[in-house]
Amino acid sequence: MILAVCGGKGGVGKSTVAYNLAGALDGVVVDGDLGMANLPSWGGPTLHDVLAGRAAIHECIRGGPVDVVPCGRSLAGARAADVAALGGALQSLSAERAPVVVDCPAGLRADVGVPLAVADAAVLVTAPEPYALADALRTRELARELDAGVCCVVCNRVVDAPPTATIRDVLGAPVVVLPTDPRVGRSVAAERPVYEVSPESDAGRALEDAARRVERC
Amino acid sequence: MQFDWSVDVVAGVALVTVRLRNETGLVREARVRNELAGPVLPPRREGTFEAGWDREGVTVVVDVGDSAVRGYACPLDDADSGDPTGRIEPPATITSVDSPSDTTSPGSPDSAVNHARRSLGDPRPPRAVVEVGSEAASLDQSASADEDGTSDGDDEAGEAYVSRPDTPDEVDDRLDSVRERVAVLESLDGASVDEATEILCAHGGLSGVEALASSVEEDAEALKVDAADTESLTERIAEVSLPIDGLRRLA
Repeated sequence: MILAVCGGKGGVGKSTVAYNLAGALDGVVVDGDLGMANLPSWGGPTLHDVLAGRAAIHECIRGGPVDVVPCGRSLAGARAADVAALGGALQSLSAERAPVVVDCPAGLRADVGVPLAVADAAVLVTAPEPYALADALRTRELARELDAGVCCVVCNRVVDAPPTATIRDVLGAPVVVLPTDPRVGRSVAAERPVYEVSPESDAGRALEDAARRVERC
Repeated sequence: MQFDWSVDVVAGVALVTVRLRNETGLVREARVRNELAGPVLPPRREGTFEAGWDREGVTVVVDVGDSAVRGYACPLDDADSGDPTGRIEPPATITSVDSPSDTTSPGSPDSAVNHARRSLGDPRPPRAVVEVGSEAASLDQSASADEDGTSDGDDEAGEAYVSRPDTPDEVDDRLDSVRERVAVLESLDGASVDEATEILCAHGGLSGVEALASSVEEDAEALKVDAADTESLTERIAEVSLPIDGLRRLA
């Protein structure tokens, strides 16, 4: 299975949700942000190398509490990356490791469209504020156009109870509320996924709920 | 499958139109092959060939009782260009008619990937920001969180650092790169078919030259910024005056 985690707006927590979902699903997360990678990296080959034809994607799996296919950090690497090869690379990886969770970049360009085109399903990440919801709606439309069904919407960084019924009606998918929790924010940098650190917390249970919805998709 | 064609020649380039009509009772997929010596220059979107096209021709799915029209350009070689209407007949032929294959059906992953590429735009950073010192043009990011944990790696991604050329040598190198790219495009203007083919081969084909043209546009924008900076500095130099007598009293 290939799962695309997207949302349109930058800064809503796509990477954090993708990382933690991959952990909860015992999969591998691919840092698909070719121009602004931020998942844990290493000195070995990265997605930039795959998309420039220098490495196979299975050679780029960095083991850890959550296995990651990192992306390069250079503009030159981003420039040389052929997004046309991304679809085939993700499909190749999913034949060996499943599920493959793709942390999509912000925006609605081909680097979001190609993962959605090959994904079996998508998770939208948003935040309880108008710009994030508007971008999530545009991303939902793109996902539908590319035949990637939306499993659920993760509403991140929630402090006060958000209008989940409205979000569900507008985005057309069940809403999982992920409350503000410092352990969620630290999970990627510290490589301590929430399901390991605090599975019984509200955030831990929310991420578990999202993972189970993905499994049922 | 009924097949018809027409061709116009403009400036040594054949503009070929093919028309197909499916009179059978089934949806048919026809493979049309270019019979001219030159490469097919098909319609593109965002640098990607439109669906069904490749360098040898086009694959077209035609519904029952329906017609399809496709067109492409093809540079003529010396043999063809001598007598265009007499020697390029037919310019294209149908090589096969079959049931539609999966790769051309709208729902196939290959089709969806190409649709995404065509319709959503190139996500890569512009060449101009990469040319300027690749080492210094590295992203330096961390996926750290705030103290209260309300942000995540997306917020703390940091900003790309792009250095401008600092030394005269770096400035010269950058301008030399621009001059080289412009020279390639200038050499294509008015080139013969043979010359143009050689230049295309040397620079990654039509897609390579198109990328070069896009880079030259970016170069022009960057040079405009440089020109504005230079003009501003020149004006500041003209306006500055050193209070040398007062400074002498202080020294």
